[in-house]
Amino acid sequence: MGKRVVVGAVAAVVVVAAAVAFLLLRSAGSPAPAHMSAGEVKAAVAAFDPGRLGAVGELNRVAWQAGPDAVPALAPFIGDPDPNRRFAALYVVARVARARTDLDVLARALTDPVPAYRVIAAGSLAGKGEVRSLGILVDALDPGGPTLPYSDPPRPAADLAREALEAYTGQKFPDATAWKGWWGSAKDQVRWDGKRYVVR
Amino acid sequence: MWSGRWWLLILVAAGLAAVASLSADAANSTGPKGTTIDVTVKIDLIGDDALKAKIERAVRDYWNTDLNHDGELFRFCGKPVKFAAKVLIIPPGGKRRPDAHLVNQHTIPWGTYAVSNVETSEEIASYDPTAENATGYWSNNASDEDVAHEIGHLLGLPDEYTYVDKNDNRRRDADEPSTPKPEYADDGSLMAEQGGHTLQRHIDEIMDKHKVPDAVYPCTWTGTYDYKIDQHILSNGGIQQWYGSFKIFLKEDKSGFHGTIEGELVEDLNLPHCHARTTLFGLKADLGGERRRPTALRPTRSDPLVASLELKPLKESWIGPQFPACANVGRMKDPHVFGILLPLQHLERREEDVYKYEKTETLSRPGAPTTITKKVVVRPKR
Repeated sequence: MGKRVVVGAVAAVVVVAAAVAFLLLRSAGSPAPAHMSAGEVKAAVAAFDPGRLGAVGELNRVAWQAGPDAVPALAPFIGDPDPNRRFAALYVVARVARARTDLDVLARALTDPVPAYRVIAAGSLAGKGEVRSLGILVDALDPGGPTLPYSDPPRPAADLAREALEAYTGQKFPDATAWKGWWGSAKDQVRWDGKRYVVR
Repeated sequence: MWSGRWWLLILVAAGLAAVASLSADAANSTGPKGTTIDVTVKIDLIGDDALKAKIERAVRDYWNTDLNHDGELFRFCGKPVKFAAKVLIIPPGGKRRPDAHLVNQHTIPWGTYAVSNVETSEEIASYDPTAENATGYWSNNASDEDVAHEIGHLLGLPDEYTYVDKNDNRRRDADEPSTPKPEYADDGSLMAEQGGHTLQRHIDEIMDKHKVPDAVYPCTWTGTYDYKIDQHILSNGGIQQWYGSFKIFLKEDKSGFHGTIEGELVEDLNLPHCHARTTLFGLKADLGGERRRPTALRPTRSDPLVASLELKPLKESWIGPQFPACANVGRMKDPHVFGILLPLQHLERREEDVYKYEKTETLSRPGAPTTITKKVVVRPKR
């Protein structure tokens, strides 16, 4: 009888301890934004398949962990015939581009055939002092324009354009017409002062 | 060699441990607290105080206020539903709570594009937010509304928009625009489009997803509806009255209100030279109506649920000596559709479990303006 008690108690303790260990294991650390190598980023972008569940989340994880060194690796994708791959590359490059050569890669997307892609490139370049981005952003303000890819909830590209213009020009206008009026008179005098655009 | 008791003990211990581990998984929890249904969403945030504040603001402004944005909570089965976000900022690689969603913050400059999203192991429509923690990437530049939308996902709500499949390849390509699903195109849903709102059907779906049981929050109501109209008759100063007492049974579910109303409507003509009393209708009718947050409204809100009731004549009787003066009393012989504005918001649950409403209002009817006195006393069914 005494032996049974001991064995039973030990078994119960083992089960409870296993459950506690299970709980502790599940409270694992959060993923650190570990740097992804350029090769890993390139492979992930090349494999971007929006038909797969979680594809946008995976792209977000890549963008979160990518560094500026990924830009040269992604440069060929900016002109890729597949619009999904172009978007994936643009999404990451627009996040991490810093150096002059990176910005030149990003600027290639200013002529992308997909209007929303042009706005994404221009929105990011606007904060880097690229004056040529402003005209694209102003043109994107027209109502009825495209929505941003995979935006959740759906968001017009015009919103991103307005956000960038207001942030970096210090101007606020009620509609696209007013913005176009301002741009028409200011575009030849606009300069980047390191933080925002000023009209001289 | 072991007796059955020991195996039983081990099984119980294992069962308790399993239950403990399962419950620890739930990033969302619900429970009655006082007179409210509380829904708590735990979020571990790898981000900053600004996004944390935005999350808390989004809960306050989108989930803890109904469409009138007046601080009224949405209700489920008469009970206010109160949402709370418990956000804990953790460092990258830091220890997570086992029962919290994880949100990673995209920290980007203005003008740079980032998609805010929530990922689950399966489509969100099938996702159980009480059993699985989701992972999200939310931008520091996301609007409060965007964050409220993502919180909707953490609460188990799927997107209510689709895409224009320009190349018919049955997947949403990056260059294909979004559009609200046709069934949600007109109701201004937070989960369908920018500028949208939280809606009662979202609350219903969240209650379903969080398994809030009808047994705990009863969705059936019984009561009486006392109805009275006084109309002064211009020519002789007499008062014409309609009155009745109706028993109400209502069931509230996602599709609306369904139930019955039963009683009699009497017409009483009090003229100086004539007193005619007629039972106009014996009523037993189905009652139904759209569920437009009627229980989320204040008693003073003039947003009653409109229920059309078909009233059928039961019998007619004449009382009084001067028949000619009362000749207009029996005009409702034929089956007649009679609209009653039934103020269901007054079936509001109160602590004493008694629901009372008394109000006088003017209702347009053919003829002279009519004063209506309505009294509703409803008790929840036990």
